[in-house]
Amino acid sequence: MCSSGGSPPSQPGAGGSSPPGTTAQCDRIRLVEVKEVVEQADGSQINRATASRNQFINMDGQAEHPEVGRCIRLRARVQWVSGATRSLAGQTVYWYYRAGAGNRAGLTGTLRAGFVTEGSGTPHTPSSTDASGWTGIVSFFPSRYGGDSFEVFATDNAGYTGGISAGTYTVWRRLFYELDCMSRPSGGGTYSNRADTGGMEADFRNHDVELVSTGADDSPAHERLVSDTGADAWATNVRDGTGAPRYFHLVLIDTIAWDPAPLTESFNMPSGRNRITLPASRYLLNSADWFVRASYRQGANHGAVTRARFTLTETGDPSTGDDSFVLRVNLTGLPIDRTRPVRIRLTFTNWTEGSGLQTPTGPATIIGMRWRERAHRNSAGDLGNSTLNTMMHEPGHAMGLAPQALPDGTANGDHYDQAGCHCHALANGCVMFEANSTSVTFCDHCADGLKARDLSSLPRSGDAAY
Amino acid sequence: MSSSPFIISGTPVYGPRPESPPLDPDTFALDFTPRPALSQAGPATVAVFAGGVLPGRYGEIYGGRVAGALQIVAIELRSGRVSHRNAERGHTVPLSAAMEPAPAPPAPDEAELESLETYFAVDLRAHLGLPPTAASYGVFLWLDEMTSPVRVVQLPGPEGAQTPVLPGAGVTDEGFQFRRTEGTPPAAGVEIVLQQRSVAPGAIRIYGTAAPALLATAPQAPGSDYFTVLALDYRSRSLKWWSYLVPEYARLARDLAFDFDLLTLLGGPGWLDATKPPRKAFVLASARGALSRVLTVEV
Repeated sequence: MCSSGGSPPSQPGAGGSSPPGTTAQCDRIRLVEVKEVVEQADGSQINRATASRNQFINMDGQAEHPEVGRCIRLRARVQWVSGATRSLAGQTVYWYYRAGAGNRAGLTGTLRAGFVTEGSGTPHTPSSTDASGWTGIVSFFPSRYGGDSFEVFATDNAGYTGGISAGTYTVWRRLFYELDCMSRPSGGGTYSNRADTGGMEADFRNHDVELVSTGADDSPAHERLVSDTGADAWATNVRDGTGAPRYFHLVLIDTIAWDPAPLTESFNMPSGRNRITLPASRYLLNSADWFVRASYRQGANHGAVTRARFTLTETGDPSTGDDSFVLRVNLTGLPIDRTRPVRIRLTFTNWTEGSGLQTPTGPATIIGMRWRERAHRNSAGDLGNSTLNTMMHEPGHAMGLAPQALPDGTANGDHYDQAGCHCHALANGCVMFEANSTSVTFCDHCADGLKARDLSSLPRSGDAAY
Repeated sequence: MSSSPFIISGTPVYGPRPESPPLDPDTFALDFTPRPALSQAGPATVAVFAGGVLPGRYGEIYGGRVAGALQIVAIELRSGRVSHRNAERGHTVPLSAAMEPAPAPPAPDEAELESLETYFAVDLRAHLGLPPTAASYGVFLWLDEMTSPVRVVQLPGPEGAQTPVLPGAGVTDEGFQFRRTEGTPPAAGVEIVLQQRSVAPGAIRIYGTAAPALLATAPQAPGSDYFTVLALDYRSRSLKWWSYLVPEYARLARDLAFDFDLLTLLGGPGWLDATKPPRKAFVLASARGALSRVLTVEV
């Protein structure tokens, strides 16, 4: 009768294979070790000691870096309890994992953890040993949900209990970002002092995303206005980072703007008044191309006012909140009585100023700084958070946030679709609300989506399935 | 001879167009023209061509961002559900950070802004995120104290499931009650009148009444007869709404009055809570295609 207890049999086989019916037949195997199989640069594979770690599951597998990629490759070795050296071929080792207590419930499809194949949901699997007692390589795939943890075990117990831990693997994702900060219009320096990359990294780290800085800050020359249609090409010129397609490019600039359109305003110009002030907080003109048409009227007199009669200057400074486009019009020589008021009807091209922009097909996240430095000139904290909000919001779009559905398949009641996917949770205080704010908090639903999004390439859509 | 279908962009386009409402540059007005169109993605929709000749004061407050201050409002007639959005495409500088809520008079050598003109066109369905199914909407434009006329717009599409009737638009009814008219109801032609009754600490009582002539008209959607209240915060640009079925007794007696505590209905951040004055909210009521004048509440 074979022993089934924990103590080894009293008569171990003494080497070589034993014939059936001897004490060797009652010998048992015991699990000796579990190793991780790591591919080397030359294509060979070695066994390494296992260890608990963060697993960057959105990365492609990489030689000598078992911590990247979703697949964790393990093997175990058994030996005869008796110490016999006969063949161990055909013995079975049982693999299972223990999910962390805080793991996301309700994951479906490829989001699930499991053995053998990605998203299999297979909670355990057997493996067979070769003559030397090593199992084949067993692949374990953690879930695709950031922060989930899995302790993997190998055991000789067919009931999938006990055994040797192969370590605890915590799901992380790694993305790369590059920062370029435009030179300021005057006074030297760039907008880099507004880029709280440490805060951004910390916020994403809280959602199990590691952001890695890449490339150099080229400090591009100042441009007063970058249009949405030209933003991607412009940003490409200063891009030298790596990490694509898991990469985004933060560019802090003076002003990002779109929708140039004619705006008509009528002014009453009493005697002695010839100045039209358009505050930069509410108007945005391209000084090289702003004039559309103008006319005057005074009683029965009326006619055109040419472009040449206007001068445009930009005055003031955002830091004092008085930056403005100032137009002066020279009415000398027109058939009007300048001791009486004259009405000027002016049509000019006005741009809409953006808070920030994630280019739809590229990795550029453009962040306008002028308006922020004006609006938050009295609060450095608000200025920092407003900037950080956009540094999170725009890449958040590329990461598929404000998701239409949650990772468990239920609809996200905080999602709405206006100008892209946005979120009205936290009384419109989520980072993914469409308007900029000083909030630097992702709501629970956006955080849930972020943890589950497939970040193996950017961009992802908030409307997309997981 | 049929003309080719009009194709409307999924994002707003700006500037006057042949389809824009004809507006006299010397008369303040806000108006729009709905026109059947195809969306850029293909399905049939309705393009809204809007225009406004606005008092210079709006230019002083909003300047070139006036489209961001202007709300396009659509009330789905069968459900009372309100969809709304400003006339910009999003990701803009927040209007609350751009606007000058209390403009100063012009400097001595400065011209006085008398008026500004704004024109834009939107794909109503795409811009407001309306469902793809066929539905009728009461549509109007709203800029603080100004509104356009309400026009019924029929959005084409496949028949959808009956939109659930909203007893109170999914929000609390607390603070809102229908009642009998006190005193003389408004004259015909001024169909809904709002009045601010009192401002006490923690309460702003609004009283309103509808003209009997309005209640003599047929509901715009058979079986659905909604009364809607909307409020817009001047500074935060938050907009909230509540729709209620007009009570049976009011239909029969042609007597509809109501009152509510604005602060109870609004509440929360973004409502009359600017750090500095002015703190204002604009309030509107709508029923059977009529729109009240805007009531401005300032605290």
